[in-house]
Amino acid sequence: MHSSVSERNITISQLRRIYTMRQTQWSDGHHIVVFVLPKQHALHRRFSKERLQIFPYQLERIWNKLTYSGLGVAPIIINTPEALIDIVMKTPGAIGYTETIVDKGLVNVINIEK
Amino acid sequence: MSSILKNNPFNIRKLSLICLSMVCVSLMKSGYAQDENLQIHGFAAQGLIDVNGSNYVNDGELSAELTEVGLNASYILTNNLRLAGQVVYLEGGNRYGDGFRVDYALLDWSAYHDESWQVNLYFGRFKNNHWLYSSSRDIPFARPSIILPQSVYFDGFRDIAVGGDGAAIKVSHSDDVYGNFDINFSYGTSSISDKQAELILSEYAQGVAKQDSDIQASIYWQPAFSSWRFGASLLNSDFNYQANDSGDLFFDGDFSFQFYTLNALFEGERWEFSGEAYKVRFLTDGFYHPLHYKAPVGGGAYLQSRYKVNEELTLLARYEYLYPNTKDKNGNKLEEETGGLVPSYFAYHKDTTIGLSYDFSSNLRLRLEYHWFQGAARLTPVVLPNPQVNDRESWQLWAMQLMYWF
Repeated sequence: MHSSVSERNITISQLRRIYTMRQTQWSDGHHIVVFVLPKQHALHRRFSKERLQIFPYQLERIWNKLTYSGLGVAPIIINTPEALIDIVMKTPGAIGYTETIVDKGLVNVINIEK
Repeated sequence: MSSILKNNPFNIRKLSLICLSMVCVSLMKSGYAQDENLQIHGFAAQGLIDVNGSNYVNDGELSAELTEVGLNASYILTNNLRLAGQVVYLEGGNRYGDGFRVDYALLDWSAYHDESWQVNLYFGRFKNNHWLYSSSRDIPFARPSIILPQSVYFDGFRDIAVGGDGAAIKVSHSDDVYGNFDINFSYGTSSISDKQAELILSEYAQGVAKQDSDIQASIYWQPAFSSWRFGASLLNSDFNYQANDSGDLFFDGDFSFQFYTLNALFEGERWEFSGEAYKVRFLTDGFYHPLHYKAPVGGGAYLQSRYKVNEELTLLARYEYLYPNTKDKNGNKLEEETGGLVPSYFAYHKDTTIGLSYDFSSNLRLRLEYHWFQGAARLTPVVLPNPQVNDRESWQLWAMQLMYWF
Protein backbone atom coordinates (compact mmCIF):
# COMPACT_ATOMS: atom_id res chain seq x y z
CA MET A 1 0.00 0.00 0.00
CA HIS A 2 1.05 3.62 -0.33
CA SER A 3 3.14 4.75 2.62
CA SER A 4 0.39 7.23 3.66
CA VAL A 5 -1.99 4.37 4.55
CA SER A 6 -1.91 3.79 8.27
CA GLU A 7 -3.21 0.17 8.31
CA ARG A 8 -0.58 -2.43 9.22
CA ASN A 9 -2.79 -5.53 9.18
CA ILE A 10 -5.81 -6.46 7.14
CA THR A 11 -8.23 -9.38 7.29
CA ILE A 12 -9.24 -11.49 4.30
CA SER A 13 -12.78 -10.18 4.71
CA GLN A 14 -11.59 -6.59 4.57
CA LEU A 15 -9.42 -7.36 1.58
CA ARG A 16 -12.45 -8.89 -0.18
CA ARG A 17 -14.52 -5.83 0.65
CA ILE A 18 -11.83 -3.56 -0.80
CA TYR A 19 -11.37 -5.56 -4.01
CA THR A 20 -15.12 -6.01 -4.54
CA MET A 21 -15.41 -2.23 -4.00
CA ARG A 22 -17.64 -2.61 -0.95
CA GLN A 23 -15.18 -0.61 1.14
CA THR A 24 -14.00 2.50 -0.66
CA GLN A 25 -12.32 4.46 2.13
CA TRP A 26 -9.60 3.74 4.66
CA SER A 27 -10.33 4.05 8.37
CA ASP A 28 -8.81 7.55 8.29
CA GLY A 29 -11.32 8.66 5.63
CA HIS A 30 -8.97 8.65 2.69
CA HIS A 31 -10.21 7.28 -0.61
CA ILE A 32 -8.89 3.81 -1.50
CA VAL A 33 -7.36 3.59 -4.97
CA VAL A 34 -7.25 -0.07 -6.03
CA PHE A 35 -4.74 -1.27 -8.62
CA VAL A 36 -4.78 -4.72 -10.22
CA LEU A 37 -2.96 -6.66 -12.92
CA PRO A 38 -4.82 -7.75 -16.09
CA LYS A 39 -7.29 -10.59 -15.52
CA GLN A 40 -5.23 -13.17 -17.43
CA HIS A 41 -2.02 -12.42 -15.45
CA ALA A 42 -0.99 -15.46 -13.40
CA LEU A 43 -0.34 -13.36 -10.28
CA HIS A 44 -3.79 -11.75 -10.50
CA ARG A 45 -5.42 -15.17 -10.85
CA ARG A 46 -3.51 -16.51 -7.84
CA PHE A 47 -4.25 -13.44 -5.75
CA SER A 48 -7.95 -13.65 -6.62
CA LYS A 49 -8.39 -17.36 -5.92
CA GLU A 50 -5.97 -17.87 -3.04
CA ARG A 51 -6.10 -14.57 -1.18
CA LEU A 52 -9.57 -13.23 -1.93
CA GLN A 53 -11.13 -16.68 -2.43
CA ILE A 54 -13.11 -15.34 -5.40
CA PHE A 55 -12.88 -16.65 -8.95
CA PRO A 56 -11.30 -14.04 -11.26
CA TYR A 57 -14.38 -13.98 -13.51
CA GLN A 58 -16.55 -13.07 -10.50
CA LEU A 59 -14.34 -10.07 -9.75
CA GLU A 60 -14.49 -9.02 -13.38
CA ARG A 61 -18.29 -9.17 -13.37
CA ILE A 62 -18.55 -7.06 -10.24
CA TRP A 63 -16.18 -4.48 -11.70
CA ASN A 64 -17.91 -4.46 -15.10
CA LYS A 65 -21.27 -3.88 -13.46
CA LEU A 66 -19.92 -0.93 -11.49
CA THR A 67 -18.09 0.56 -14.48
CA TYR A 68 -20.76 0.25 -17.14
CA SER A 69 -23.88 0.95 -15.06
CA GLY A 70 -22.56 4.05 -13.29
CA LEU A 71 -22.92 2.53 -9.83
CA GLY A 72 -19.26 2.90 -8.88
CA VAL A 73 -15.67 2.70 -9.98
CA ALA A 74 -13.59 -0.39 -10.69
CA PRO A 75 -9.90 -0.97 -9.90
CA ILE A 76 -7.37 0.50 -12.30
CA ILE A 77 -5.62 -2.14 -14.42
CA ILE A 78 -1.82 -1.92 -14.64
CA ASN A 79 -0.02 -4.09 -17.15
CA THR A 80 3.04 -5.32 -15.21
CA PRO A 81 3.88 -6.04 -11.54
CA GLU A 82 6.75 -3.53 -11.72
CA ALA A 83 4.49 -0.75 -12.99
CA LEU A 84 1.88 -1.67 -10.38
CA ILE A 85 4.36 -1.26 -7.51
CA ASP A 86 5.56 1.99 -9.03
CA ILE A 87 2.10 3.52 -9.22
CA VAL A 88 1.16 2.30 -5.72
CA MET A 89 4.24 4.12 -4.41
CA LYS A 90 3.17 7.32 -6.15
CA THR A 91 -0.57 7.32 -5.39
CA PRO A 92 -1.86 8.31 -1.93
CA GLY A 93 -4.39 5.79 -0.59
CA ALA A 94 -3.32 3.14 -3.08
CA ILE A 95 -3.40 -0.63 -2.62
CA GLY A 96 -1.92 -3.30 -4.87
CA TYR A 97 -0.28 -6.72 -4.68
CA THR A 98 3.06 -8.20 -5.66
CA GLU A 99 5.16 -11.31 -5.09
CA THR A 100 8.34 -9.67 -3.87
CA ILE A 101 9.26 -6.25 -2.59
CA VAL A 102 12.84 -5.13 -3.12
CA ASP A 103 12.74 -1.97 -1.01
CA LYS A 104 10.15 -2.14 1.78
CA GLY A 105 10.85 1.46 2.79
CA LEU A 106 8.99 2.87 -0.20
CA VAL A 107 5.64 1.19 0.42
CA ASN A 108 3.62 -0.05 3.36
CA VAL A 109 3.66 -3.86 3.26
CA ILE A 110 0.75 -5.28 5.25
CA ASN A 111 0.03 -8.64 6.85
CA ILE A 112 -3.09 -10.51 5.82
CA GLU A 113 -4.78 -11.97 8.87
CA LYS A 114 -6.79 -15.19 8.56
CA MET B 1 -23.94 -10.41 -48.30
CA SER B 2 -24.61 -7.53 -50.64
CA SER B 3 -28.25 -7.51 -49.55
CA ILE B 4 -27.15 -7.13 -45.94
CA LEU B 5 -25.09 -4.11 -46.78
CA LYS B 6 -27.87 -2.65 -48.79
CA ASN B 7 -30.48 -3.11 -46.11
CA ASN B 8 -28.27 -2.33 -43.15
CA PRO B 9 -25.36 -0.23 -44.21
CA PHE B 10 -22.42 -0.05 -41.87
CA ASN B 11 -22.88 3.66 -41.93
CA ILE B 12 -20.67 6.63 -41.21
CA ARG B 13 -22.29 7.13 -37.80
CA LYS B 14 -21.27 3.65 -36.68
CA LEU B 15 -17.78 4.08 -38.08
CA SER B 16 -17.34 7.46 -36.35
CA LEU B 17 -18.40 5.98 -33.02
CA ILE B 18 -15.99 3.10 -33.25
CA CYS B 19 -13.20 5.52 -34.26
CA LEU B 20 -14.08 7.69 -31.23
CA SER B 21 -13.76 4.62 -29.00
CA MET B 22 -10.37 3.85 -30.52
CA VAL B 23 -9.19 7.43 -29.91
CA CYS B 24 -10.18 7.08 -26.26
CA VAL B 25 -8.23 3.82 -25.99
CA SER B 26 -5.19 5.53 -27.54
CA LEU B 27 -5.48 8.49 -25.18
CA MET B 28 -5.68 6.19 -22.17
CA LYS B 29 -2.69 4.17 -23.32
CA SER B 30 -0.66 7.29 -23.96
CA GLY B 31 -1.40 8.53 -20.46
CA TYR B 32 -3.70 11.47 -21.16
CA ALA B 33 -6.52 9.92 -19.18
CA GLN B 34 -4.38 8.25 -16.52
CA ASP B 35 -5.72 10.20 -13.58
CA GLU B 36 -6.95 7.95 -10.78
CA ASN B 37 -9.95 10.25 -10.29
CA LEU B 38 -10.99 10.00 -13.94
CA GLN B 39 -11.89 6.73 -15.59
CA ILE B 40 -12.95 6.38 -19.20
CA HIS B 41 -14.28 3.11 -20.55
CA GLY B 42 -16.24 1.94 -23.55
CA PHE B 43 -17.27 -0.87 -25.82
CA ALA B 44 -18.14 -1.60 -29.43
CA ALA B 45 -20.02 -4.62 -30.72
CA GLN B 46 -21.24 -5.57 -34.16
CA GLY B 47 -23.11 -8.69 -35.15
CA LEU B 48 -25.29 -10.49 -37.61
CA ILE B 49 -28.78 -11.69 -36.77
CA ASP B 50 -31.25 -13.77 -38.73
CA VAL B 51 -34.84 -14.40 -37.69
CA ASN B 52 -37.04 -16.93 -39.38
CA GLY B 53 -40.80 -16.62 -38.90
CA SER B 54 -41.36 -13.31 -37.09
CA ASN B 55 -40.73 -9.56 -37.32
CA TYR B 56 -38.62 -9.54 -34.14
CA VAL B 57 -35.78 -7.73 -35.99
CA ASN B 58 -37.07 -7.17 -39.53
CA ASP B 59 -39.16 -8.92 -42.15
CA GLY B 60 -36.85 -11.89 -42.39
CA GLU B 61 -33.57 -10.95 -44.06
CA LEU B 62 -30.14 -11.63 -42.59
CA SER B 63 -29.36 -8.37 -40.85
CA ALA B 64 -26.43 -6.41 -39.43
CA GLU B 65 -28.81 -4.47 -37.16
CA LEU B 66 -26.98 -5.68 -34.09
CA THR B 67 -24.78 -2.72 -33.19
CA GLU B 68 -23.99 -1.53 -29.69
CA VAL B 69 -21.40 1.16 -28.95
CA GLY B 70 -20.90 2.93 -25.64
CA LEU B 71 -18.56 5.37 -23.98
CA ASN B 72 -18.57 6.28 -20.30
CA ALA B 73 -16.68 8.45 -17.87
CA SER B 74 -16.51 8.61 -14.10
CA TYR B 75 -14.91 11.49 -12.23
CA ILE B 76 -14.35 11.56 -8.47
CA LEU B 77 -15.02 15.13 -7.32
CA THR B 78 -14.39 14.65 -3.60
CA ASN B 79 -14.16 11.74 -1.15
CA ASN B 80 -17.97 11.56 -1.18
CA LEU B 81 -19.07 12.89 -4.56
CA ARG B 82 -18.66 11.44 -8.03
CA LEU B 83 -20.01 12.26 -11.47
CA ALA B 84 -20.68 9.49 -13.99
CA GLY B 85 -22.26 9.26 -17.42
CA GLN B 86 -22.54 6.94 -20.39
CA VAL B 87 -23.71 7.48 -23.96
CA VAL B 88 -24.72 4.50 -26.08
CA TYR B 89 -25.58 4.01 -29.71
CA LEU B 90 -27.91 1.09 -30.40
CA GLU B 91 -29.20 -0.39 -33.61
CA GLY B 92 -31.49 -3.40 -33.32
CA GLY B 93 -34.09 -3.23 -36.09
CA ASN B 94 -37.63 -3.60 -34.73
CA ARG B 95 -36.34 -4.42 -31.25
CA TYR B 96 -36.04 -0.75 -30.19
CA GLY B 97 -35.48 2.66 -31.68
CA ASP B 98 -32.12 3.19 -33.37
CA GLY B 99 -29.77 5.94 -32.32
CA PHE B 100 -27.94 7.62 -29.47
CA ARG B 101 -29.13 7.59 -25.89
CA VAL B 102 -27.84 8.99 -22.64
CA ASP B 103 -27.72 5.69 -20.81
CA TYR B 104 -27.01 7.28 -17.44
CA ALA B 105 -25.87 10.67 -16.21
CA LEU B 106 -25.74 10.95 -12.45
CA LEU B 107 -24.28 12.44 -9.32
CA ASP B 108 -23.24 9.72 -6.87
CA TRP B 109 -23.19 10.84 -3.24
CA SER B 110 -21.55 8.46 -0.79
CA ALA B 111 -23.74 9.54 2.13
CA TYR B 112 -22.42 7.11 4.74
CA HIS B 113 -19.68 4.53 4.88
CA ASP B 114 -17.68 2.53 7.33
CA GLU B 115 -15.98 -0.87 7.11
CA SER B 116 -19.31 -2.74 6.91
CA TRP B 117 -21.83 -0.25 5.53
CA GLN B 118 -22.08 1.84 2.41
CA VAL B 119 -24.98 4.13 1.55
CA ASN B 120 -25.00 5.76 -1.88
CA LEU B 121 -27.56 8.15 -3.32
CA TYR B 122 -27.78 8.64 -7.07
CA PHE B 123 -29.41 11.72 -8.62
CA GLY B 124 -30.12 12.18 -12.30
CA ARG B 125 -30.59 9.46 -14.88
CA PHE B 126 -29.80 6.11 -13.30
CA LYS B 127 -29.89 2.55 -14.57
CA ASN B 128 -32.30 -0.10 -13.34
CA ASN B 129 -30.24 -2.12 -10.86
CA HIS B 130 -33.04 -4.33 -9.60
CA TRP B 131 -33.03 -7.47 -11.77
CA LEU B 132 -30.19 -9.91 -12.37
CA TYR B 133 -29.08 -8.41 -15.70
CA SER B 134 -31.02 -5.12 -15.86
CA SER B 135 -28.01 -2.87 -15.34
CA SER B 136 -25.91 -4.71 -17.93
CA ARG B 137 -28.58 -5.45 -20.56
CA ASP B 138 -26.96 -3.05 -23.06
CA ILE B 139 -23.39 -4.09 -22.28
CA PRO B 140 -22.67 -6.90 -24.76
CA PHE B 141 -19.87 -8.59 -22.82
CA ALA B 142 -21.45 -8.16 -19.38
CA ARG B 143 -24.73 -9.94 -20.14
CA PRO B 144 -24.98 -13.71 -20.58
CA SER B 145 -26.24 -13.79 -24.20
CA ILE B 146 -26.81 -11.58 -27.22
CA ILE B 147 -30.58 -11.81 -26.77
CA LEU B 148 -31.65 -11.83 -23.12
CA PRO B 149 -34.72 -13.70 -21.82
CA GLN B 150 -37.48 -11.58 -23.35
CA SER B 151 -39.98 -12.38 -20.64
CA VAL B 152 -38.02 -10.18 -18.20
CA TYR B 153 -35.77 -8.12 -20.49
CA PHE B 154 -38.36 -7.41 -23.17
CA ASP B 155 -36.73 -5.29 -25.88
CA GLY B 156 -40.10 -3.65 -26.62
CA PHE B 157 -40.06 -2.10 -23.12
CA ARG B 158 -36.30 -1.47 -23.16
CA ASP B 159 -36.29 2.33 -23.07
CA ILE B 160 -38.77 2.42 -20.19
CA ALA B 161 -37.32 -0.45 -18.17
CA VAL B 162 -33.63 0.36 -18.56
CA GLY B 163 -33.63 3.18 -15.99
CA GLY B 164 -35.23 6.47 -15.10
CA ASP B 165 -34.82 10.15 -14.34
CA GLY B 166 -35.07 10.72 -10.61
CA ALA B 167 -33.26 9.37 -7.58
CA ALA B 168 -32.03 6.00 -6.34
CA ILE B 169 -30.46 4.73 -3.17
CA LYS B 170 -28.25 1.72 -2.58
CA VAL B 171 -27.49 0.41 0.88
CA SER B 172 -24.77 -2.25 1.11
CA HIS B 173 -23.79 -4.21 4.18
CA SER B 174 -21.02 -6.77 4.52
CA ASP B 175 -20.81 -9.09 7.46
CA ASP B 176 -18.48 -12.04 8.11
CA VAL B 177 -21.32 -14.03 9.66
CA TYR B 178 -24.33 -13.25 7.48
CA GLY B 179 -22.61 -12.20 4.24
CA ASN B 180 -23.37 -9.36 1.83
CA PHE B 181 -26.67 -7.48 1.62
CA ASP B 182 -27.63 -4.96 -1.06
CA ILE B 183 -30.86 -3.01 -0.79
CA ASN B 184 -31.91 -0.77 -3.69
CA PHE B 185 -34.77 1.67 -4.07
CA SER B 186 -35.48 3.98 -6.99
CA TYR B 187 -38.11 6.51 -8.01
CA GLY B 188 -38.25 8.13 -11.42
CA THR B 189 -39.87 8.41 -14.81
CA SER B 190 -38.84 7.78 -18.39
CA SER B 191 -39.95 9.78 -21.37
CA ILE B 192 -41.64 7.67 -24.03
CA SER B 193 -40.32 8.31 -27.53
CA ASP B 194 -42.50 8.04 -30.64
CA LYS B 195 -40.70 4.81 -31.57
CA GLN B 196 -41.25 3.36 -28.11
CA ALA B 197 -44.96 4.29 -28.26
CA GLU B 198 -45.20 2.63 -31.67
CA LEU B 199 -43.56 -0.57 -30.38
CA ILE B 200 -45.96 -0.82 -27.47
CA LEU B 201 -49.17 0.75 -28.78
CA SER B 202 -48.81 0.34 -32.57
CA GLU B 203 -48.53 2.90 -35.34
CA TYR B 204 -52.28 3.58 -35.10
CA ALA B 205 -51.97 5.25 -31.68
CA GLN B 206 -51.88 8.95 -32.59
CA GLY B 207 -52.07 10.32 -29.03
CA VAL B 208 -49.44 10.91 -26.35
CA ALA B 209 -48.24 8.27 -23.90
CA LYS B 210 -46.56 9.31 -20.64
CA GLN B 211 -45.10 7.51 -17.69
CA ASP B 212 -46.48 8.94 -14.42
CA SER B 213 -44.13 7.15 -12.06
CA ASP B 214 -41.85 4.16 -11.67
CA ILE B 215 -41.10 2.84 -8.20
CA GLN B 216 -38.77 -0.10 -7.75
CA ALA B 217 -37.14 -1.86 -4.83
CA SER B 218 -34.91 -4.90 -4.55
CA ILE B 219 -32.84 -6.83 -2.05
CA TYR B 220 -29.92 -9.18 -2.67
CA TRP B 221 -28.26 -11.51 -0.20
CA GLN B 222 -25.04 -13.46 -0.63
CA PRO B 223 -24.26 -15.68 2.36
CA ALA B 224 -20.73 -15.26 3.74
CA PHE B 225 -18.08 -16.81 1.46
CA SER B 226 -20.85 -18.49 -0.57
CA SER B 227 -21.14 -19.12 -4.31
CA TRP B 228 -24.88 -18.44 -4.09
CA ARG B 229 -26.75 -15.17 -4.23
CA PHE B 230 -30.48 -14.64 -3.83
CA GLY B 231 -32.64 -11.66 -4.70
CA ALA B 232 -36.16 -10.28 -4.88
CA SER B 233 -37.58 -7.18 -6.55
CA LEU B 234 -40.81 -5.18 -6.75
CA LEU B 235 -41.88 -2.75 -9.45
CA ASN B 236 -44.90 -0.50 -9.82
CA SER B 237 -45.20 1.68 -12.88
CA ASP B 238 -48.12 3.84 -14.01
CA PHE B 239 -48.73 5.26 -17.49
CA ASN B 240 -51.43 7.28 -19.15
CA TYR B 241 -52.50 7.76 -22.74
CA GLN B 242 -54.19 10.88 -24.06
CA ALA B 243 -55.94 10.22 -27.34
CA ASN B 244 -55.51 12.58 -30.24
CA ASP B 245 -58.81 14.45 -30.73
CA SER B 246 -58.47 14.48 -34.48
CA GLY B 247 -59.15 10.87 -35.37
CA ASP B 248 -57.42 8.46 -33.01
CA LEU B 249 -58.21 4.76 -33.19
CA PHE B 250 -57.87 4.58 -29.38
CA PHE B 251 -59.35 6.40 -26.37
CA ASP B 252 -57.87 8.01 -23.26
CA GLY B 253 -56.53 5.32 -20.96
CA ASP B 254 -54.52 4.45 -17.86
CA PHE B 255 -52.09 1.58 -17.52
CA SER B 256 -50.59 0.14 -14.39
CA PHE B 257 -47.83 -2.44 -14.39
CA GLN B 258 -46.70 -4.47 -11.38
CA PHE B 259 -43.80 -6.88 -11.61
CA TYR B 260 -42.45 -9.08 -8.80
CA THR B 261 -39.37 -11.26 -9.16
CA LEU B 262 -37.36 -13.79 -7.21
CA ASN B 263 -33.93 -14.74 -8.45
CA ALA B 264 -31.00 -16.96 -7.61
CA LEU B 265 -27.45 -17.16 -8.91
CA PHE B 266 -24.75 -19.79 -8.39
CA GLU B 267 -21.21 -19.05 -9.54
CA GLY B 268 -18.87 -22.04 -9.36
CA GLU B 269 -15.44 -22.47 -10.87
CA ARG B 270 -16.85 -24.05 -14.05
CA TRP B 271 -20.63 -24.22 -13.64
CA GLU B 272 -22.95 -21.32 -13.26
CA PHE B 273 -26.72 -21.41 -12.74
CA SER B 274 -29.12 -18.51 -12.64
CA GLY B 275 -32.84 -18.02 -12.84
CA GLU B 276 -35.60 -15.52 -12.28
CA ALA B 277 -39.25 -16.29 -11.56
CA TYR B 278 -41.88 -13.58 -11.68
CA LYS B 279 -45.49 -12.53 -11.44
CA VAL B 280 -46.83 -9.67 -13.51
CA ARG B 281 -50.11 -7.74 -13.38
CA PHE B 282 -50.97 -5.41 -16.24
CA LEU B 283 -54.01 -3.20 -15.69
CA THR B 284 -55.65 -1.40 -18.61
CA ASP B 285 -58.42 1.11 -17.89
CA GLY B 286 -59.91 2.59 -21.07
CA PHE B 287 -57.71 2.89 -24.17
CA TYR B 288 -59.44 0.23 -26.32
CA HIS B 289 -62.85 1.57 -25.30
CA PRO B 290 -63.91 4.04 -22.58
CA LEU B 291 -65.49 1.19 -20.58
CA HIS B 292 -62.66 -1.30 -21.06
CA TYR B 293 -61.09 -2.57 -17.84
CA LYS B 294 -58.80 -5.58 -17.50
CA ALA B 295 -56.06 -6.59 -15.07
CA PRO B 296 -54.74 -10.02 -16.03
CA VAL B 297 -52.10 -11.66 -13.85
CA GLY B 298 -49.29 -13.37 -15.68
CA GLY B 299 -46.15 -15.23 -14.73
CA GLY B 300 -43.09 -16.99 -15.97
CA ALA B 301 -39.52 -18.01 -15.29
CA TYR B 302 -36.22 -18.82 -16.89
CA LEU B 303 -33.40 -21.10 -15.89
CA GLN B 304 -29.95 -20.61 -17.32
CA SER B 305 -26.78 -22.62 -17.13
CA ARG B 306 -23.28 -21.72 -18.25
CA TYR B 307 -20.26 -24.01 -18.34
CA LYS B 308 -16.69 -22.76 -18.65
CA VAL B 309 -14.90 -25.35 -20.76
CA ASN B 310 -11.62 -23.48 -20.39
CA GLU B 311 -10.41 -19.91 -20.02
CA GLU B 312 -11.61 -19.00 -23.51
CA LEU B 313 -14.75 -21.03 -24.19
CA THR B 314 -18.08 -20.81 -22.33
CA LEU B 315 -21.24 -22.74 -23.25
CA LEU B 316 -24.79 -21.55 -22.56
CA ALA B 317 -28.18 -23.29 -22.29
CA ARG B 318 -31.43 -21.62 -21.19
CA TYR B 319 -35.15 -22.21 -21.14
CA GLU B 320 -37.81 -19.59 -20.44
CA TYR B 321 -41.57 -19.27 -20.55
CA LEU B 322 -44.08 -16.49 -20.03
CA TYR B 323 -47.88 -16.38 -19.84
CA PRO B 324 -49.21 -12.78 -19.76
CA ASN B 325 -52.48 -14.22 -18.44
CA THR B 326 -52.07 -17.39 -16.38
CA LYS B 327 -55.82 -18.05 -16.66
CA ASP B 328 -55.48 -18.34 -20.42
CA LYS B 329 -52.25 -20.29 -20.97
CA ASN B 330 -53.32 -21.87 -24.25
CA GLY B 331 -54.78 -18.62 -25.65
CA ASN B 332 -58.27 -19.95 -26.38
CA LYS B 333 -59.89 -17.10 -24.47
CA LEU B 334 -57.76 -14.50 -26.26
CA GLU B 335 -58.71 -15.88 -29.65
CA GLU B 336 -62.38 -16.09 -28.69
CA GLU B 337 -62.56 -12.56 -27.25
CA THR B 338 -60.99 -11.05 -30.35
CA GLY B 339 -63.32 -12.93 -32.66
CA GLY B 340 -60.40 -14.91 -34.06
CA LEU B 341 -58.41 -11.80 -35.03
CA VAL B 342 -55.63 -12.59 -32.54
CA PRO B 343 -54.52 -16.26 -32.73
CA SER B 344 -54.09 -18.24 -29.54
CA TYR B 345 -50.27 -18.35 -29.79
CA PHE B 346 -50.12 -14.64 -28.83
CA ALA B 347 -50.96 -15.77 -25.30
CA TYR B 348 -47.55 -17.25 -24.49
CA HIS B 349 -43.82 -16.98 -25.11
CA LYS B 350 -41.31 -19.83 -24.78
CA ASP B 351 -37.66 -19.79 -25.74
CA THR B 352 -35.04 -22.53 -25.73
CA THR B 353 -31.53 -21.16 -26.23
CA ILE B 354 -28.08 -22.64 -26.75
CA GLY B 355 -24.96 -20.60 -27.31
CA LEU B 356 -21.26 -20.18 -26.83
CA SER B 357 -18.77 -17.41 -26.35
CA TYR B 358 -15.08 -17.45 -27.15
CA ASP B 359 -12.56 -14.98 -25.73
CA PHE B 360 -9.74 -14.17 -28.15
CA SER B 361 -8.17 -11.93 -25.51
CA SER B 362 -9.14 -10.25 -22.25
CA ASN B 363 -11.31 -7.71 -24.09
CA LEU B 364 -12.28 -9.31 -27.42
CA ARG B 365 -15.08 -11.88 -27.51
CA LEU B 366 -17.16 -13.65 -30.14
CA ARG B 367 -20.61 -14.89 -29.18
CA LEU B 368 -22.92 -17.22 -31.12
CA GLU B 369 -26.40 -18.41 -30.21
CA TYR B 370 -29.54 -20.07 -31.50
CA HIS B 371 -33.09 -19.65 -30.19
CA TRP B 372 -36.20 -21.77 -30.74
CA PHE B 373 -39.29 -19.71 -29.90
CA GLN B 374 -42.88 -20.75 -29.46
CA GLY B 375 -45.59 -18.13 -29.21
CA ALA B 376 -45.76 -14.44 -30.05
CA ALA B 377 -46.46 -12.76 -26.70
CA ARG B 378 -43.12 -10.93 -26.85
CA LEU B 379 -43.44 -9.52 -30.36
CA THR B 380 -44.36 -5.90 -30.98
CA PRO B 381 -46.65 -4.02 -31.08
CA VAL B 382 -47.84 -5.31 -27.73
CA VAL B 383 -51.37 -3.97 -27.38
CA LEU B 384 -52.37 -4.46 -31.01
CA PRO B 385 -50.74 -7.71 -32.17
CA ASN B 386 -49.96 -8.14 -35.83
CA PRO B 387 -50.87 -11.72 -36.88
CA GLN B 388 -50.50 -10.82 -40.57
CA VAL B 389 -46.73 -10.50 -40.13
CA ASN B 390 -46.31 -12.80 -37.15
CA ASP B 391 -48.33 -15.65 -38.60
CA ARG B 392 -46.38 -18.58 -37.11
CA GLU B 393 -46.46 -20.10 -33.67
CA SER B 394 -42.87 -21.33 -33.93
CA TRP B 395 -40.02 -19.10 -35.04
CA GLN B 396 -36.24 -19.23 -34.78
CA LEU B 397 -33.31 -16.88 -34.46
CA TRP B 398 -29.55 -17.17 -34.74
CA ALA B 399 -27.06 -14.43 -34.03
CA MET B 400 -23.35 -13.84 -33.79
CA GLN B 401 -21.67 -10.77 -32.34
CA LEU B 402 -18.06 -9.66 -32.01
CA MET B 403 -17.48 -7.40 -29.03
CA TYR B 404 -14.58 -5.29 -27.83
CA TRP B 405 -14.30 -3.31 -24.64
CA PHE B 406 -11.80 -1.24 -22.70
